[in-house]
Amino acid sequence: MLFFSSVLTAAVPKPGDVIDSSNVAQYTYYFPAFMVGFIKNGNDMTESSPIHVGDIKTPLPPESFRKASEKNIGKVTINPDDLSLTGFDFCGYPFPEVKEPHKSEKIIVNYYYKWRPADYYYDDKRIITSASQRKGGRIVRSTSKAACIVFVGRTAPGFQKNLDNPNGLYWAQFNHYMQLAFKDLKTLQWRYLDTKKDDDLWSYIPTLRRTLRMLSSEKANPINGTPLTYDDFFGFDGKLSQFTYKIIAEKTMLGNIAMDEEVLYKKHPDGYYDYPVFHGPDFPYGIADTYVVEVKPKDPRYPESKKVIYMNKINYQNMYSEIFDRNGELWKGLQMNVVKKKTTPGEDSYFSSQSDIDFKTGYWIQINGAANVQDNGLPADALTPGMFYTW
Amino acid sequence: MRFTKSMTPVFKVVAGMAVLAILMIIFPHKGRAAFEMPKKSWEIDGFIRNNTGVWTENWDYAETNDPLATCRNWLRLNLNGGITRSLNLKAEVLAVYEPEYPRERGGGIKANEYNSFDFRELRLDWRINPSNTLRFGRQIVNWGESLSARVGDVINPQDMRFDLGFTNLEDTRMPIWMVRGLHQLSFINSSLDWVFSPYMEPDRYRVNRIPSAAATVNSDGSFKAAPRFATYPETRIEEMFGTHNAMIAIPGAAPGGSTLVIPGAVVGPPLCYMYMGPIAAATATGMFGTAFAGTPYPAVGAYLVRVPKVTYDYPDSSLSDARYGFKTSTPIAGWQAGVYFWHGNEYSPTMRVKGGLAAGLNIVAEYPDQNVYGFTANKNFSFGVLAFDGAYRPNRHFNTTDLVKNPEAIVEKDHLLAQARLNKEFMIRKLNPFATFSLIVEYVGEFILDDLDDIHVPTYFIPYHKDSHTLLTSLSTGYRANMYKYGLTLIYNAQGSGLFQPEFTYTPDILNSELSFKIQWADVFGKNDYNYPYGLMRDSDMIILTTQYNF
Repeated sequence: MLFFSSVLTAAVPKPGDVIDSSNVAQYTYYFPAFMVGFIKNGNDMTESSPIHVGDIKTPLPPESFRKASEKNIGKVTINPDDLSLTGFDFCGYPFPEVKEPHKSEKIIVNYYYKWRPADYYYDDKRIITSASQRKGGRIVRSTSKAACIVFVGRTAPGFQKNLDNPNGLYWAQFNHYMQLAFKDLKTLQWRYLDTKKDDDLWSYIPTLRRTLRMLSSEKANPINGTPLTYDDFFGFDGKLSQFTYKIIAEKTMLGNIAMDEEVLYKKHPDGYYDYPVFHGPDFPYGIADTYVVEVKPKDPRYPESKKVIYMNKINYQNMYSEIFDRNGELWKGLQMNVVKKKTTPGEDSYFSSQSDIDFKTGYWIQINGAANVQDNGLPADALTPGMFYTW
Repeated sequence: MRFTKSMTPVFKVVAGMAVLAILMIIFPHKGRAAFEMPKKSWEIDGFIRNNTGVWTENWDYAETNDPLATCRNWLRLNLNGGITRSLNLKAEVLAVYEPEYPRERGGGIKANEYNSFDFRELRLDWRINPSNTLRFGRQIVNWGESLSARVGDVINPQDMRFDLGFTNLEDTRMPIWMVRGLHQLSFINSSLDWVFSPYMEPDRYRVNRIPSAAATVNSDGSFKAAPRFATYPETRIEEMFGTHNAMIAIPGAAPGGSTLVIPGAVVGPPLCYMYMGPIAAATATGMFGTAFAGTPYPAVGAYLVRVPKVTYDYPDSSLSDARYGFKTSTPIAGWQAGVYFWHGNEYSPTMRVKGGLAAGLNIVAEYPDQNVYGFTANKNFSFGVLAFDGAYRPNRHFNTTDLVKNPEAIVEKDHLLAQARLNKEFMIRKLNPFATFSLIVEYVGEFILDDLDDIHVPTYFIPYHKDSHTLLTSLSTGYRANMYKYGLTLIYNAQGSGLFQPEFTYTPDILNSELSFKIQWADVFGKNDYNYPYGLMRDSDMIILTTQYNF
């Protein structure tokens, strides 16, 4: 009854609307609860964050990816117990038309194998910037760089060939932290094609001048005292086989679904955005239909009882993620911000950054990774434990 | 850097390496795609740091028990950037200042002993392609898996003049000139890391720097001063004789009155023979003879100290003394495994007695060649990460006190260091609901694979054991997004000594969280003063405050 009443009383957002503390009650249907709090009163962390609704459309995956997806219609089957696929060559969405049976499972594998650039990195013109703040503290800024190589399912023009892959990888991700307190700390993550196999992680510790193997089975542990965890990246980045999935709703949401990269850097030339969530007239939100998916861990020791992710139906980019602790209370809220881009070969694309807000500690971090350079031909062995720290 | 004639062959070798690198570019290589590495922008950063520490115990052998243990001030500046897309420069300058310390005053420590202003690292990186990098210049390289001991960490010598709780191994490693190659060999899914390093540094930087000599002695036999991190000076005698006052005889001498003398035998390490006690001139002459190189004597009635003439045989700059080695790494069934080999010199000396004791105690401090054969392996398990490291040194030189069988005081033994480590991160939500605890447990074993033959640590009566076992346990966590960090380290050696070190770090969020304050208590314990390795320092407990600002 409450659900229907909220739908019935909700205003329908349209381009030009401004949603602020005076009228947010009419729009609660279109946001997760934590976003309503930011609009209303900043959740006592920041100033009230009004949202402007724009004529914003969800960016589509690149055309090459869409064509590869169409080829999978009717070809791919799924085992709902372990989410393994038959007839899938990792190119495109395995299920571009999502129908029952096993709709939840098909959606989650579409999400898992969503479009990624064949590779990306950050040059020195624009790097990853982040702003964070402890409760009652000052804003702290830091920078980092990253690179990623995807080994299979490469659809970009000129990069369709799968890379030589003796280690059976899906992708390799490198991060280089430049905050002065741990300057030149570098990490390498390997994600395997075998969805049952744990990721592998390495860290190059500059004070040791050595690469250490890191524990990867505890990917839900906080990273370096921040609310970030490896499983939370992009809203949800856990191992497929370690969770259960259920579509609890399909609904229309308002989100930061297509930011303009040039506007972002024109307004914030140094890349820092010192607020937990993007808001205001410079960053209008768009309307998108979403799957609302409940993700629950199979491991009873997992620190989160569940995640609720709001997944854009068109490009499978998460818009929001709500994370609940073992007592079922809201612990963290994540907002993903999608930025429109072009790949090096010239296809329209996008990239998602995120903010993490930990409501238990009052700590938030806003990461702006919009400015990567995509589809460049990074060679397969650039991101190996023996070489990654030479970047 | 000194330019000598003998370096010409070295330059030929370096030129050969450059040719090799060019060949690597010419030959097709999987890693050499059309991709061009992005050019690195220029960055300057660094830190200012102060370590201020106080002793918490008095030294019974020091004239003053002023508590200042350390006041070390550091300025490190880094300049990094791309000259071209493939050529990068890294220059790291380190300036250190320490004042004169009251407990060292009069102890023979030079003014400015600890001060320095030099390049810590200065290198050119040639990133040929993403799979091949060459590095030329002054560098520090660390191989192996151990965090607490130098198992595979064999390349750089160490500055051991400042030590204990407020330093880590990184701070004490000394850079050396080298060419280093880093390669990803796709065809065997492995990486290769090699180093070639001729000796181009001044002598004192070619080997471990150690605190200068032991305590100086007043005419009444009391001790004047000692280097702050030197070991308690009388341990070399107490273990053998249970007293500070002992006589050490050379063959044939039979000083009267002392039951502690072992007639006909020579005891003690070659470097330092001491007699402590009143002595008449005639007896002194009778005991030690008149031809006694390099030793001044106090007046009759005073304590007599005999120090032999010591010369140092440092590694030279010739090609035959150059250091070189390689390391591999390969993923195999979830393990990351590899082997390494290093040919270099021992960085701590052994003492060779030349010509026998009767000839006047001429000692040569040598840094003999050594070959190190090692392996490493690590794997991620559900319960944590396991890592292993083993380093085997055949025919390693040791000093022996049995100069009857070994007149030059040197024996060769096969030596093994073995390390195993567990890393784990976990949550204890009742204690810390929002951050992890990091646990490290590391075991290091040292094994002499032959008979011991009375081998001792040079200059001290500290015997080696056939096997020695050390366990390190470290636990840490942080609160309020690491504004407050707590850590606890316990190191225990099975001979009965170790280190207990709690620490607390506070990082306020002023100045972009780049200012931090760390307080540590280094509590060294041991069964006695001559218990190796930590008991030697058991009077050197300290509390240290480290303040650091990164910029």
